[in-house]
Amino acid sequence: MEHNKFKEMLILYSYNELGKEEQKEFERHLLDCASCKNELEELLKLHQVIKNSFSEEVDEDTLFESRHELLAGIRILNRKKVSPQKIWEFLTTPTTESLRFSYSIAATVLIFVTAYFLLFNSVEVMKTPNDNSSIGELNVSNLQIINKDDENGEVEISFEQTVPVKLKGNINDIEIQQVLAKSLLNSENPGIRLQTVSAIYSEKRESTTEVLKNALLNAMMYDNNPGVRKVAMNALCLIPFDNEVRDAMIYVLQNDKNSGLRIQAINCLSEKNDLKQFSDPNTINALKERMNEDENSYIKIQAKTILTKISS
Amino acid sequence: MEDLSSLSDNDLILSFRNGNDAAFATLVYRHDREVLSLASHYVKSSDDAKDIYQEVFLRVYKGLKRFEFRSEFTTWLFRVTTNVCLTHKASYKKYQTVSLSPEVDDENPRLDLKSSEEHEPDKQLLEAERKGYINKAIDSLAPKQKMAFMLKNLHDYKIKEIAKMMECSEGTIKKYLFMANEKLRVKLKTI
Repeated sequence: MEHNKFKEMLILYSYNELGKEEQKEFERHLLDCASCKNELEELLKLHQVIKNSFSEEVDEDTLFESRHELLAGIRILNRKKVSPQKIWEFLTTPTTESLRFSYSIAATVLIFVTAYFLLFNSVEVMKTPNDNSSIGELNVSNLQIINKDDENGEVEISFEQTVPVKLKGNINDIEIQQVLAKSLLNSENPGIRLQTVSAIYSEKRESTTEVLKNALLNAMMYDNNPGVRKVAMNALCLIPFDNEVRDAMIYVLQNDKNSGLRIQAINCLSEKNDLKQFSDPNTINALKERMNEDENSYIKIQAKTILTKISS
Repeated sequence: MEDLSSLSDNDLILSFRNGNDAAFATLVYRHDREVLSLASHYVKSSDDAKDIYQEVFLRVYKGLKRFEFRSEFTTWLFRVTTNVCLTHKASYKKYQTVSLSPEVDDENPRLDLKSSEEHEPDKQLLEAERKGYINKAIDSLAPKQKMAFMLKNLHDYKIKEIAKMMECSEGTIKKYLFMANEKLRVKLKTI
């Protein structure tokens, strides 16, 4: 009976999960019990064999692809999330002069379109007292019939509607940068992301908000379109070079399968004069790895040049 | 400029709730290696692991707006991960095929090291064979036993942490670990 109690403790002991008193008690028992001692040794050996048979390292390619796919998944999710309620809230709460201006344009168009539907399409827009979601339509898509009662003619439908908004300002304006960052992160269409990142890439841009910088870092590392990654990198080369930008460039250098982008990354790094930024051991190791292993000889030479500059 | 990487998980969540999508990305990149590692250990193929990764972070993306800070973000994240892994396994099992070969005994895989050494001197092949048996033995565990065993043996979580992740008592986790260890000891005794 006593021995069985210790058998139960054995597994917890192997995991270092016994309380102090229990641990001492078990260790005293081990001194006298060869059977438990053998069993413990076998168990620890088994745990070690099992642990060794699984890789601790995450496969970098799988991680890279997973991040790409997640970004695409979130874009699709955000596209689906645009509800009439949200649009109505957005339209009714303009926060800046420019948004008020956009609101007035949108409202005018809204009136015309609503009038068009009412006059020419014979569609009766149902509006319940507590429901603001039926405020006109501009672009209607994904329409679904939820309920249809032929006896009294009632019909309940759901659809997605989008409202075009025009925003005019300077590339340094916070609102402009926020919208561009959102578009770069969330647009599903690579053409739109390319347009967006091209708009961000401007020599006239004097300041970069953290939101925009992060969107650029994200696009440079994980956008599945190489054109978007390239322009994002161009834009990042223009902003103050800090550890985050350096780490992202190193990430591209190590992981991007497109050699053109790796060349661009090493060029951007080699243009930086503040060598203190490169004294970090991870950066040095990454450069050494590229110097020895990159399939592109230009990258090998450039990595060696930077390392020589650091050491001299 | 605010450095997102220096913010705590909770501050990143608040920032994300205020419309900063980059805060979510920072949160993902901080923890996604562990999520992918757990998924890769739990399922066999990298495609399945990627599916789990995607499902976990999409659930987190949708759920963060309702996150109430009652537990650590990581506890919640790994709770979602274990749930997705367990569900994934369940749906996979529906379509699992059965071997028709009479020579293969899934329940009692035999590892005849001696004869392997005689006929196959290649160590790598032997190692692959051994890993195959270990994987098969671990796969034969009940899903929750397997999950508890992996969280403990491969990811070194404490029993208390595993109980929170799997939403059950510490006693239940101990039971899973006892059963898993007993089964594996029998199945892998020849190794």
